[in-house]
Amino acid sequence: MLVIKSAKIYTSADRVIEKGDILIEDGKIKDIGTSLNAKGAATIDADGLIVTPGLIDAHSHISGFETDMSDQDLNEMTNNATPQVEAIYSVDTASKMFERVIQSGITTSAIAPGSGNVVGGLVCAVKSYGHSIEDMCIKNPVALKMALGGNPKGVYGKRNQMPMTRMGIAHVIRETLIKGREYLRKKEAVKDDESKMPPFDLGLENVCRVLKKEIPLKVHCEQFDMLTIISIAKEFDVEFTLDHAWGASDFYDDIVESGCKGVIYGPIGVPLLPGECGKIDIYSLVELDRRGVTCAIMTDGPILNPDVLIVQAGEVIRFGGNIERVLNMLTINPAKIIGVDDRVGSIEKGKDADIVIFKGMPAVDTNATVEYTIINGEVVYRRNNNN
Amino acid sequence: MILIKNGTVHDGKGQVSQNIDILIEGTKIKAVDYSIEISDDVEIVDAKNKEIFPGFIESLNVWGCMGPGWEDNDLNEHSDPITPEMNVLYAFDQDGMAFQRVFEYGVTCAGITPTTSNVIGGHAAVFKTYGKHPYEMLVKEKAAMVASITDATKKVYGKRNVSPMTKMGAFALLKEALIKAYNYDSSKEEVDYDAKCEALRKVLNKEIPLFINCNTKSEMDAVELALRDFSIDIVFTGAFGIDESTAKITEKKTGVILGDLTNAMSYKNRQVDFESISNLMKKGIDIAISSCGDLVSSGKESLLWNAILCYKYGLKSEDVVRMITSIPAKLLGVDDKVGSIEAGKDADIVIWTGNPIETYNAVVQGAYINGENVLNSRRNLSCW
Repeated sequence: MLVIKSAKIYTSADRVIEKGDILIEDGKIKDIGTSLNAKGAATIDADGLIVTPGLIDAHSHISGFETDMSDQDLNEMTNNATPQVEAIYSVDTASKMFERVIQSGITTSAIAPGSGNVVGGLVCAVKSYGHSIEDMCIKNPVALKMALGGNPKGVYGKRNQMPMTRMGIAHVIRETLIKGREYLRKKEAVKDDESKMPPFDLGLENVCRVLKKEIPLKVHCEQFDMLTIISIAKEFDVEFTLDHAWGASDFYDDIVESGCKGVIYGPIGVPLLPGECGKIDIYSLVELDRRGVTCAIMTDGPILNPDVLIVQAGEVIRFGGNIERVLNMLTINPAKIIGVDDRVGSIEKGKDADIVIFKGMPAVDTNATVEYTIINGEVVYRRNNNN
Repeated sequence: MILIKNGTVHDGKGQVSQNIDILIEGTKIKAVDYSIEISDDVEIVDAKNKEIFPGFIESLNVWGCMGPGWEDNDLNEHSDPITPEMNVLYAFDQDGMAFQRVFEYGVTCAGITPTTSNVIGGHAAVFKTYGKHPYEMLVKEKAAMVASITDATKKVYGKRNVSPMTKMGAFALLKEALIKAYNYDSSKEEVDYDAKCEALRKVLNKEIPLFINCNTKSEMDAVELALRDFSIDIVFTGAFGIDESTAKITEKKTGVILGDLTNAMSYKNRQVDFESISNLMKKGIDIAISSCGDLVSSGKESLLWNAILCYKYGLKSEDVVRMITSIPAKLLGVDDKVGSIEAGKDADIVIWTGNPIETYNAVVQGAYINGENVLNSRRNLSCW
């Protein structure tokens, strides 16, 4: 048993406790309250400290990409659509990147295939600490990755293959979904006659999961590309998230009306160039959140250093975001978007004990530092007091 | 004339004073004092409860020289690993710079560098971050000679089976170029004009510093070892591995420009020892913060984010301010014009609603470059 005592607790469950305790047992949150009886439990005195749920990065490639892309295992660029591949097999659980995200308070990441292909493959959700992929992975799959715009164009256009244009990209997405729909129809028509079963197709099996709304599409899109996926998702009646989403401020109404599962914004801190990088507008999260869109912030790790997850949250504060709403964008919102909110994302009884203890107010005080990171009730990082 | 009244002024040299007035005349700061009385026709800007900083200075970046496409730039003269004769002035597009709107995050001046993937890349220059004409934005041409011995060099040339394929290859090229320039005497009639030697003579004569990109401590130590017989001014850029014993840095008062800490989870930016940096600062070593990587351009937020991370990891707030104002101004050789709020300096002044080093609750309310508030200036509507 472990008890965190006298902390200011941001629960990400519509409640802030000025001075409260959290009791942890068997990796779960057993109780939250004031002056809890915790006889025999190890104690962390968190008086004057701030406690939040473990942070969640809903869009990352850590351990699957080297920082300089000298090695990578997340872009299977042998075909513009590879729905059959799964990121879970490319996660290097011994990667040092996990140590680094733990130090920044990130306890869960959605690890996604890259954006080299239009259809990239399945995304999984992993904790930052564990001894094996089975240990670390809390849900697989959480989404089917897709990418619009310059990335797939750059890969295939150069080879004189489709997609060479945005029209080509839209076509590849629609064709994939149409084939999936055909496949699903044939399978459902089989009934008792197994001989009518269409030949097994691993990729289309995964597309069917999207069509049956078991998982959403996770779509790399910027600027007006987001309209493309909004319209295709409507046509096929599938769920989706808008990832990166630079330029969202041009399309508030479209995004709100689309009923998308969420907007996962970032990374910012990039140069402005005409086209995809023409408008970087993280302030749009304030308005999208106000209008009911579930918003989250990403590092696109290892693209950004994990410390910058909170720095970007600070940018939302700079442009008028409310602190509780902004902390939700790092915790419960990404948990909902990737469908793991039954286990993580908030400090509530019964949830996994994934907790971060900060000195200073994260996303407000620029010098707020992670003092402890706790995953499944285990202290996996404690800041060296000499630092 | 503009009178900015009653602000809390961070002068860029470590001093903070409250209720200070700043008088701007034309493009310059005319006076900084308590209760400046002026009867002339003057525009009053009330800065009560506001924090005023000198415009931040990005030491090395590539704004204005990249694009319009991601792959496009005018910096990589990779036809030869030794190109000291290159001058970044000819690569700088004022629209590409202004389009970044970095002044929205308080950045009013930037060192712009040619490639750091050549062993010697050419001349860096210093520009203001807003303007309509590149030569009017220019603060200093040939501010530094940019060099590199990092793996960025071998990644370009090794692949072609051309030197440098290794670090030792890069050092051989660097030394050879400097020795050749040392022996070059253009006054002798029989000596043919050599553009590379001409350019490097300025480094050997200490007219301009050599900015040399190094990531690790051993790279910096190796540079010191290789170049100790030359009398030149060295500034380490990148310099993630710096500590108090690095390259006899304290004896030689070598300057340092820290590389970007926000991009990429790499072994490079993990090794920064902030306690050593703090101790070196106390010993008077000039260390600047930048958001520069190996030609990875950054956004308008990036310099402030780097400053924030340095503060978060233990550097003092006013030291961090110096590291993005007066210190880069000195290392770039433009401290006669910019980098502090003092009478006679260019009126590059930014008014914030809070102290951006210490809180995210701070936005820019006025960004003056050469005495003009450019915060609400026309957005660039060309293809840029």
